[in-house]
Amino acid sequence: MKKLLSVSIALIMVLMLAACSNEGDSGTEKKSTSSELTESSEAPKPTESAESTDEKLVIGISVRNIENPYYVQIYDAVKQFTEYMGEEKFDIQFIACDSSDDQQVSDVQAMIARGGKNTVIYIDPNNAAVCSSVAKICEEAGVYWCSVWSYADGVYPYNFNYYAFHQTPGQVESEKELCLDMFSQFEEANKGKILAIKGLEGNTASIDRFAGLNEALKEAPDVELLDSQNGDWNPQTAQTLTTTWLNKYGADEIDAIWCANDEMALAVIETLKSQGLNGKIKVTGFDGITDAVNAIKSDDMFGTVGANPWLEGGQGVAYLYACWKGDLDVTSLSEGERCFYTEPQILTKENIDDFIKDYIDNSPEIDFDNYMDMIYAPLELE
Amino acid sequence: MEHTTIFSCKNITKDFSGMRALDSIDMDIKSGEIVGLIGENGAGKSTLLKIIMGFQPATSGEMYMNGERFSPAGTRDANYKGIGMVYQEQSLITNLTVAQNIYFGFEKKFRQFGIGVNWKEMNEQARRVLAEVGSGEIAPGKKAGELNFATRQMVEIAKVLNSVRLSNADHYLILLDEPTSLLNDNEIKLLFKQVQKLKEEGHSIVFVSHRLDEVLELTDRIYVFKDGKGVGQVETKKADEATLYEMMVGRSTSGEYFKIEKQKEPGDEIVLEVKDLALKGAFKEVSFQLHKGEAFGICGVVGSGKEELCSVLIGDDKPTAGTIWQNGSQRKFSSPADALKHGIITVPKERRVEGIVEIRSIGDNIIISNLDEIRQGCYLSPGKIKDIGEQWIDRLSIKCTGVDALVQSLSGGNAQKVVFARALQSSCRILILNHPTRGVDVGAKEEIYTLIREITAQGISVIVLGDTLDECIALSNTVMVMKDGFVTKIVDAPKYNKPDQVKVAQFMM
Amino acid sequence: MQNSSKESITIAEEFIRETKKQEQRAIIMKLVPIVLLIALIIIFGSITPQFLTVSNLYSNILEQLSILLVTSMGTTFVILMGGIDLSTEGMVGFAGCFVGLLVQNSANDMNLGILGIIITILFSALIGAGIGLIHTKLRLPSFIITFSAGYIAQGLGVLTYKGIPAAILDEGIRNLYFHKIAGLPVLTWIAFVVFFIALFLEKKTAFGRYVFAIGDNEKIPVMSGVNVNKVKILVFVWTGICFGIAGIMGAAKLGTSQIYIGQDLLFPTLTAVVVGGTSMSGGQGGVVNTLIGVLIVTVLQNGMVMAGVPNELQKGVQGLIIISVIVLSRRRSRKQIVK
Repeated sequence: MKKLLSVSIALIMVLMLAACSNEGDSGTEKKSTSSELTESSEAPKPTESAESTDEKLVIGISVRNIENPYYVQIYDAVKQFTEYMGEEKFDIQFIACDSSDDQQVSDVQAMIARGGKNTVIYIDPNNAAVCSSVAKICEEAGVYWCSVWSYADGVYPYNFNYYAFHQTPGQVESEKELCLDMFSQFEEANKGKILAIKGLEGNTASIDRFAGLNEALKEAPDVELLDSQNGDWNPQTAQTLTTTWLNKYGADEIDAIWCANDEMALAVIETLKSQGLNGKIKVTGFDGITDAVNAIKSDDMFGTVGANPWLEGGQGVAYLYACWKGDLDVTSLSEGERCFYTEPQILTKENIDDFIKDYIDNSPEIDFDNYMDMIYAPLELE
Repeated sequence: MEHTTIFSCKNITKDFSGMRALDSIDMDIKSGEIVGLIGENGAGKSTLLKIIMGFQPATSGEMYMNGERFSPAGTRDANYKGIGMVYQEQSLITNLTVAQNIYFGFEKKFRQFGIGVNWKEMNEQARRVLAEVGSGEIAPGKKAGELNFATRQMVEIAKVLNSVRLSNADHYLILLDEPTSLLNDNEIKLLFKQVQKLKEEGHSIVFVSHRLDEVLELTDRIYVFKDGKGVGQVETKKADEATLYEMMVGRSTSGEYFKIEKQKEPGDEIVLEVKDLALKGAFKEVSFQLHKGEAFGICGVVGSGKEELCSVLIGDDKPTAGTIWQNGSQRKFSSPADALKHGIITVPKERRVEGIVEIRSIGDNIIISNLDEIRQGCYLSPGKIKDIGEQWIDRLSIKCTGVDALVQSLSGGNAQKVVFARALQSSCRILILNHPTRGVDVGAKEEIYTLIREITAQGISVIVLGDTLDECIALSNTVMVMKDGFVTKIVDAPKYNKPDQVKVAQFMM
Repeated sequence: MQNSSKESITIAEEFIRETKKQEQRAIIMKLVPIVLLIALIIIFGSITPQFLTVSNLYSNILEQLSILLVTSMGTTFVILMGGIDLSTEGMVGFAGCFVGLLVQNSANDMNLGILGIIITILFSALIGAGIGLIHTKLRLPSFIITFSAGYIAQGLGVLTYKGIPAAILDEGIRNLYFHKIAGLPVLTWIAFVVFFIALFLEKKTAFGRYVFAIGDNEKIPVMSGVNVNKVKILVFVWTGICFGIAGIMGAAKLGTSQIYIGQDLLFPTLTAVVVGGTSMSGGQGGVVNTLIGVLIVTVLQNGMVMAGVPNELQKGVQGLIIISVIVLSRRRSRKQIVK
């Protein structure tokens, strides 16, 4: 009996501690957001919401890992939103699943357990399979959610009441543009040999970006793809592939190494540096992380495609908030408003300085009121 | 040379949870003498040696070495006092060289570069030590795993000598446990030479062996153990094999104890026949017949091959030659499960390792070999398990709190009965009992003997590897004696004309 | 002697003959890894001529195997002892992150240079000691304790940079990768040094002998008065040191301190040790075996990319070869219970 009692007390203490640690996020400087009203869009603005409720909204952000700066920026954007609206009304849960599908589904369930119906979920699914599970779970729980980057075939937002939307920074188009740009800047314009390091086999992002490269290749027939390998998003693997390829083909024969994300690209650049080849062999990545931006500025990297996490995260969560509040009825929206591309930013030497000024040196201002503006183009799901 | 007593023990008693393995053993050993220690399996020889070497403490009694009270906390302690042992199971590390084995634990002597070891120096010294035991030709740099057994034995002796030197005592005591089992004649001669040499230098040896002829040849005195007690010592020159056997094996346990009254004559039907069965390296040319309802005893010392024969019969090992016939058809068992299908099951020796699942209940253990018969589809009815369990508890008088009692809570004897129940529950036709009463108290033993009688009366044939020779003879209709891998004698043991133990023992050793 | 002694010779001799046969088989099996390595080199060499160039075989493969060699040197001792180490990824990743924050970097003002390296290695050794202590005193199987330790280390590592990896600016560290001596980066030479230290430990010290003895039959060293617990702890300390060094090398290569440094290292390490011939049950093998194993793993990886083996097939091929080597080089008695 005594044992049971002490265990129960211990459990309660642990739970209380866990609860406490999530309240009161350390506040950063409040950004003054423009309060001017732009032309009203159809979507209700969060600040105009008539209802006021005492219940806290749990905002669950489920991502692959918390080291990736991209995710950290999403989190920052969401935080800005909560500050904009009044922090005390929110409870942000930022959880990484460590590239495990099962873990991610558990994480989502934990978030829902925490907030019940007062939960919204913003998720970057580790794999398409996760989407189907989450769609079912949220539909049953009556919880609004959205997915970013990956979705599951056959599981489309407009077929559900609670799957608010799916957004993807346009990958294929932007990648294609970036590659074409790079090809045109080869020693012999649009002629050369390249190598590609993809991400994880079967991962939507990897597939889409590689597809973009292939689209570009179609329009530049004199550019040859010598080989492509899975880098598994692992920088070490990228380095090993690079040295092996350099040996196989010879540094003189290679014009560029295309990488499916910035982390791998940066690792490749380190290897090139060790052989004095940085800048001579062009490298591209994807994500737009800070280190990549610096590498572009210093000419080690040709370019990258930045998603706009502030926009996707910030406006995305505003969209979800409106759904939760009841101000926005998703079933009344068009398919294009439930499934869309957000505008990515292609970053190369030419625009890097501006980008640094607008996005890095200063935090971008996020227009939470006009969250629908983040829709760049409808995404067609067959 | 003056012979002083260098080692003595008084009243050494050792109890193992209810069982007395050694009872008030007195022994003393003088310098420069070779003392033989003989006795049947389980007589307590190994137990005493382990106590002397510090592996386990005696429950009571005292030991003295070189004049001082001696109670070792471990082997090192014993070494420091001048006692070393060559174990029956080899104690060399196969991947280390001869020298590294000899000096294992003593590398400090050869320090080099701080933490390095000067193997060259060690090899030199090892060479010297080996020469002292007459094995100077053994290359100290060779890996122990590459040596044959005789050579390894020599290395073991060198190792032991080296470790007792730590004590700086004048006289060492070396314990040899069955050192000749894997040696050929020449190698044995060499070993004896070494032992004699040690004796001439004033050291003493305790020589434990089943081979009485060797004991008679080598020793000065012989201690005989029986059932944990010292039954006497003789001067070797005054002893002969017959007297020794008599001391070792003669018992006055009554026939009543073994329920000889209940022994029945076996039927004529041959249920199992074995022809020229062999397992390479273990036994050869074994042939016998097992009749219906017969209790067939197999006796032999460790190394006789009886254990391995048992393994082959139950399907755990494949024989390398010979055939097994059951009811006229030839059998080749691929596994114990296969043998079980043909009705052959065993009550194993290592009960707690091979026999029962300790953390489960009596009921579960009993039905474990017989699941197919009692389940319906995929379902095992707990009710049925309970019924079967209770039946057996009743029939075998298993002392427990109920069918659900965990086997680990039972005493040795009762746990053994559970294993019996399992064997019988699986409706076997041939039951192989491997030391069925080992570790079982007297009362339970009697119950098991009664059980064996009943089983055979029902027509089940039993092969028994008895714990002691008299148990084997008393329980069996026919006794087969094995030695060094061969069958040396098959003798009838009818109810009223049991063969003399001493005579049978002759064939064992 | 007795009249049956003639026959007893036969049985005993039979036994000895059987054992000799097994020993001969064992000798042949010991050669399997080397034969495999040579076979791989020949096969890949014939598929892709560039494989056999000095530039590939020397500069490339040796550089590629550096980190793996260091981690394997640590793990070899644990496996020789009869244990297993699953903490590789976490420990190496942690060390990489830790050192990144101690030397000149973009996230803080520390600039400890070589002191930072030493502190990192010491810290890793300390964690190793902790693992060893828990393993011996609390008698937790090495499987469990290293598994957990790996995760804890990984968590700690991630905490150190909280999502934003620090770029390593310390030239000394970066030069471990950039600066080349005789065509190989400094860190490759360091890997060789670690190998030779491991070799010394294995062959020239009592410690090495004790590790083998413990793996072979733990009772015997215990009986002989060897402080088995101390040896076990020291093995984990050594492993900690190796992982620390590997982490620093990884950080030097990547230029940032991220947990990725340890990624995907565990399986290749274990594979290298086992394929090289060090038995999982302990007491057999050694660092030279592991060196061969490391070469096999790296050559296989390199060769397949060189040969243009399609991505999807690569993992399959690797798995097949590894299983074959293990099957060929292990003696399994029928009665062994395999869990």
